[in-house]
Amino acid sequence: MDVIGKSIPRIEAEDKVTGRAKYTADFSSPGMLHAKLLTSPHAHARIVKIDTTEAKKAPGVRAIVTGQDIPIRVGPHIQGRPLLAIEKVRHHGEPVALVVADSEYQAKAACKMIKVEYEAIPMVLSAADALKVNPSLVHPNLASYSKDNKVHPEINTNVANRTKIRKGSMEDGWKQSEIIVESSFFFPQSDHAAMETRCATAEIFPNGVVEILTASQAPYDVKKLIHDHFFVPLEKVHVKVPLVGGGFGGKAAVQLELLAYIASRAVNGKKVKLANSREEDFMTSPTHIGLDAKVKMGATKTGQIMAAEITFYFIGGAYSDEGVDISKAAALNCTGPYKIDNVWCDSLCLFTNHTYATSFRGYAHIELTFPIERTIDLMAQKLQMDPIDFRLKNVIRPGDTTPSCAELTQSNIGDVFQCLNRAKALIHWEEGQKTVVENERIKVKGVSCFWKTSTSSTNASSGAVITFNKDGSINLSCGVVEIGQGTKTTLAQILAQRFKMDMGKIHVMMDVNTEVNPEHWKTVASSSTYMVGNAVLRAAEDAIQQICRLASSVLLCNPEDIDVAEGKAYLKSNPKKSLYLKDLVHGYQYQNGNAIGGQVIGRGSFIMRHLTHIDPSTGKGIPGPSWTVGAQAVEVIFDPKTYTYELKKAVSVIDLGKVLNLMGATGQVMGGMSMGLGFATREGFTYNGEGQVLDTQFRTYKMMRYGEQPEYVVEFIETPQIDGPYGARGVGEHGTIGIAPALANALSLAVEVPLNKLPLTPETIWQTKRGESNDSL
Amino acid sequence: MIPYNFDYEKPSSFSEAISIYEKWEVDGKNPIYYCGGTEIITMARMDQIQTKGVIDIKGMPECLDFGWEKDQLVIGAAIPLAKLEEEKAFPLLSRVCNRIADHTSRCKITIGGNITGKINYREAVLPLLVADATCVIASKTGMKQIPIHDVFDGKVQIQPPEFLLQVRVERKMTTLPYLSEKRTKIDRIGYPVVSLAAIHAEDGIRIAFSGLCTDPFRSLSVEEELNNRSQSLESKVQSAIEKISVPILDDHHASSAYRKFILSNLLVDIIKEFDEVSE
Repeated sequence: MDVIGKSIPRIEAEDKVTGRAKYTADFSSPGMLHAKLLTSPHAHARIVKIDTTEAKKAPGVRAIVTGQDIPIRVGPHIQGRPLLAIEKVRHHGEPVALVVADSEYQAKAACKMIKVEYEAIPMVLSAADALKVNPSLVHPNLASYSKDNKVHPEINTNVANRTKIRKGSMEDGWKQSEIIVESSFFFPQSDHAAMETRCATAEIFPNGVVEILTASQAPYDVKKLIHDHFFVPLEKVHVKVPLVGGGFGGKAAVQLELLAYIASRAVNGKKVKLANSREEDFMTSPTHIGLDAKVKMGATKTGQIMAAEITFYFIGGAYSDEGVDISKAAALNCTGPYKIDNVWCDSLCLFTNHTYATSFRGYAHIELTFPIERTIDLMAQKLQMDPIDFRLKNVIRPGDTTPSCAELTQSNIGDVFQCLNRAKALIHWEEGQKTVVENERIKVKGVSCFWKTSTSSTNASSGAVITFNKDGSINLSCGVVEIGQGTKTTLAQILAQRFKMDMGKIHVMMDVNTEVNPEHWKTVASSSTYMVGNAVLRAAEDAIQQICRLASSVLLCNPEDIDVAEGKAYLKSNPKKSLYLKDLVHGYQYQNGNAIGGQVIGRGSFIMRHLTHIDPSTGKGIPGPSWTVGAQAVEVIFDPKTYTYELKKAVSVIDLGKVLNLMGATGQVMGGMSMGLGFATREGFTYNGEGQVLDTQFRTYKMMRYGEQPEYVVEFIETPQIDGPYGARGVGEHGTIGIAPALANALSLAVEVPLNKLPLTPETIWQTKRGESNDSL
Repeated sequence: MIPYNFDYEKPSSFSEAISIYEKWEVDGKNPIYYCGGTEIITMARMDQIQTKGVIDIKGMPECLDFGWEKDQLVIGAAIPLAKLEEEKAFPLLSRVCNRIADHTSRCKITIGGNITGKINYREAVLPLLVADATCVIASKTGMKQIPIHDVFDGKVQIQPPEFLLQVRVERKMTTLPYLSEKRTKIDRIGYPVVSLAAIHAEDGIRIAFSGLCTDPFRSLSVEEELNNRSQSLESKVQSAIEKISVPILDDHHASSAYRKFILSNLLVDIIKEFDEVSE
């Protein structure tokens, strides 16, 4: 009856592969209206005038809303983002007006009839623009925004947040360093590019109930924000989320839901749908953050890292959203999984005139790992050490502390050493890092290590409720959104394992409805299995106690004498003496008709423990419950004549504590690696001189195609996390994190120049080889 | 989703199509001829094409012709690229078509649409330029046959209501040694940074380019340099590139310097390969 570790197919798989699964935009109802956004063609401009007269007369139009109709500002850390632009626009694609009409095409046609007069303002299109003396300010009124006290925006600048790490003594660190490497790194903003574009519908009922249907990773946040901003009582906001077609962090941001609410409010509460086109999903809804970084690192001649000075300039875009928190998370984990006693880091999130950024798979770690792992390779090169040996010498271990001085234990961090050694074997490092193959092409290999913690709210919590059907089968209710990650299947496995019951007897409610499902913080940060898994185990424990108590009065013994397995409660000392769960879970009935007990309802909850806020002057604090670690390697064949390359093999070895679903975990990691390769090789927005995004469609925003995938090798190491469900650690994002530096390390070796800028297209490699400048700073 | 309504007709003869066009033009419908639809649908959705009248030319037999007529290969304007890719009647054309867009799109994109469309690359025209193809044009007075060089100058110079019905290629042109290469920003599939098609005719290499400059072109003076036997390989290529009289594109797909780099590599390879064939 062991289901933990088994490759159980996703419980929603059949619905998906037969095309029957429904996503938010698939739901329509008679009388439903449609909203469409008019967005800004400018990156930074003052709105002189909006004239909606003609548009209001257009066929089918029910309402038009502009920024001045909704004078509120929203945002998770700094409330600086208007729902529709007020006074000025701050990025290409920013919503300026919203039209509600009978059909979507009418709304779209009417948008074009709105006349907007703009007056250009100097643009901030790079970290350098943002940081120059007397810069153009994206938010001149920054001081007036309300914010939480954990962010530190700098008034009259474009700095949205600054996080400082001051660990050890830099003076000592540099004194002990015999070699020093210093370099700069860059990658532009890119996109989550989930298959399903974002969509939300809203309806306001006469009794005040607000119903939102949305493709969201954070339905409970949607509920809270509708309450906070529109004063709807919490119990009257019901947010429903069907299956979500990929989130990657992008759907944890709340945007369309609030606009759909306003749209519905403007038409007397009628149901309104607002669905992004792909172009809007790229430019109007939040993106993946960009980065400019500088790293200076020192080591002894024997290869011990003594000091690191790291500056991150995150290109956060027009609004702070999660960018400010991403910049914080990057600081707290800035060194990657290496023991460095002297660390100085300033991590800035900058306001720029790009689409605003939000969480992206790997949350700060995919970003910080690129500059760090490139620097590690540059250090090894300077020391003339093998890059794997150099890493092995410096990997972090239990007993060490993180940059934020969090203590690492046998439980809260995995085994980087073992991961790296296994990756080394799987990529056949012994063959050599660089070999010449046929037609003068070069086969090269690169490695990287990574770590990641969740940077959750210190009080993030989850709940789970289990109820029983009359045949003894179990229903599980929880607030995790199924975004393609398969968590609900894993939760069913956890429950089946605890009840020693067949998986087929577990039913998990797939959709989330905040009206009935106990809250789960957000489906983000690779933490759902950890958080909700623990809640599920507690709910199971609670139900089992109730069952044992009831069974004990029937079997005339103590509750402790009883255990539950295979659909029965039985006497431990004599398993033949048993009762079927079906005869217990809805109350036990004696032969004379008397009944005792009642329905068994198991409840479980979980809250993060021991996480702390971060000291603003030193960065000291505990950001997350555990660090999942891993090592990755990439093998490519590079053609020095054309600067093209072929991805041959990608390896990930990750310490996930305990494998709960082997194929599930492998698939997550493989998907992450593919996403990492897309980020490394081609994804990234380009802009014209006016700050307009040029790649708003898949015609030119290139992603990895099926035929380009290399051979993927995924293995796991199991160093249990004591407080994880069955010892498991999160693994949803991790395949993505170290792929880009592993590839850049390999290609840098092939072309014999440091490649410190992403994406690595043949042209950018060629340009770097020719000696063109990499840095915008 | 297209944000406006429009009329649609699928006439069964070209003369009918022309009269619908003329009528709709008078009615101010800004009519357009429609074939595979990949460009019209995607551009109309973005409001980059405005029309109130769409005339589908897939209903007329001439547009659906495909095969040999004596020593001429007849290709109807409505033949999808995927079919040209499979039926290797003109191997160079098959090869070029194989690299345009992705397979799903190629099942819809037609040769007529690719050549006459708004998207500048028009790669399907490259084999036709080097093969001195003939265009068959529907006009009020009937079908006209015009050499492609008189019809195509970067863009197809056909004045509506006239439209492209067919292209025709001489059999001997389809049997010559050929080469085609395409380089994109990164992927196998994508817009060309440089795309070229070449044949080795009796009088030397003939070559046409797309992606390199704003529009596709074949240049006799470029060919002259490439066929100049008195020059070394490198200097042939160098002089050929210098003969390109329009600016080399510099955009977010590639810089002009990188395009030149790619081009000179490709030209060297092509000359070498043709030399090997002819030896």
